[in-house]
Amino acid sequence: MKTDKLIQISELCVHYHLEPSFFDEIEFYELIEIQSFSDGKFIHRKQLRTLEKIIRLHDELEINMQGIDVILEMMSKIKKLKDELRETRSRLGLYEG
Amino acid sequence: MEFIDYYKVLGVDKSATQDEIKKAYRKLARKHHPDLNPNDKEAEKKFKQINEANEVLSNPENRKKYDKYGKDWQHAEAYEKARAQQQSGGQGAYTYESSNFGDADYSDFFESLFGGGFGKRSSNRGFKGEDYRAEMQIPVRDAWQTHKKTFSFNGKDLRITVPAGISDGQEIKLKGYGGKGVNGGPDGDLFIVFKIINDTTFKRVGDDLYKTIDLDLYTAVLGGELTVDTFDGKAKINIKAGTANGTKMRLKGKGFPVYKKEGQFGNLILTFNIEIPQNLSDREKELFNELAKLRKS
Repeated sequence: MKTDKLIQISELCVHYHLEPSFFDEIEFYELIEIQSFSDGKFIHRKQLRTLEKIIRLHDELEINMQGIDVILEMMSKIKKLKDELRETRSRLGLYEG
Repeated sequence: MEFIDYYKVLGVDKSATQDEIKKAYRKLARKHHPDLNPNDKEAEKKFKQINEANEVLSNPENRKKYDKYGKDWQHAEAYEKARAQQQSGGQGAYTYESSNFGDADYSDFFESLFGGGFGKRSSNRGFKGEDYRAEMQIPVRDAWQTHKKTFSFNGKDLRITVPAGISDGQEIKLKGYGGKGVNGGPDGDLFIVFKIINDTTFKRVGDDLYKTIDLDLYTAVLGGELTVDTFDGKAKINIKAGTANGTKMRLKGKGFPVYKKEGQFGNLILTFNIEIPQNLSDREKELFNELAKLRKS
């Protein structure tokens, strides 16, 4: 079911000055979930932050979509490792002092 | 205000070609880009510096001006004005290809040499404002129950509800309380990062609490009943006869509240530390010797 939490890709193209093909690539590499309805394609509002990150990496560092896919995956792994490190440090405290 | 050596910032020689500058900039931008170094203020600062250096050195006209007046930036503006007056018609304004990251945030040195009007964002693309992070310290006793917290941030008084069971390093997002959106983009968010100060004798790992309990030798050997402190009161436990040093006992549901799951608690894990009697009297020694003989016979 479509809600007001979805933003139409055509609106995003206008707002961010992007070509529709930019989103075709995003969809192809599954960087962001794109939902299709009879009146167009949409992304969820909560994915805006990721979209903006993709745009910056693409424009400022000239990284292609494959590269961005790898970066997002690695960043997610780094975050997970950091969380695990915090948890391990907390557990380590049991054996100290 | 200090002179900034843009060549040094990019790590290139003064005779560097445009290609070398471009290459150096790209390499450093990839290393220090804020999206690749989240929550790293140093990387963000460095990224702004290399952007600024690139904006000056990658534009031949501005590079020329920088090379000519760089160290004498105080006099550059006056000199330029005088020169413009001598020339009929004057010169056109400098144009910059600006980075899309962040708002134009240039050093005083840059503003002084090139004026405030340069280097502003060339794109009018709207972006969400910057996310802010703020640390909030709370004692572990306060994290035990859901409570309200009032604080000031950027001149605004904010009131938040801190749910019971919040853990160290956990974040709560306050939507729209971050930096202003750029070019019509939405405002950023404020992330409150919790630092839980544990000044109790309990150690916390996730929802479980750990505590070491000193147990006298006689209760450990013969068994008995013991009253122990839990986080919110006391509990009676039965000690089995023959409890060894380091034995663990789990008290189900006596741990920390589970975050956002009302009525659910972790466990309390007790570790027994058997105390060996010290400074024995003659009579005690006699009895221990007797026990030892009995055990050996």
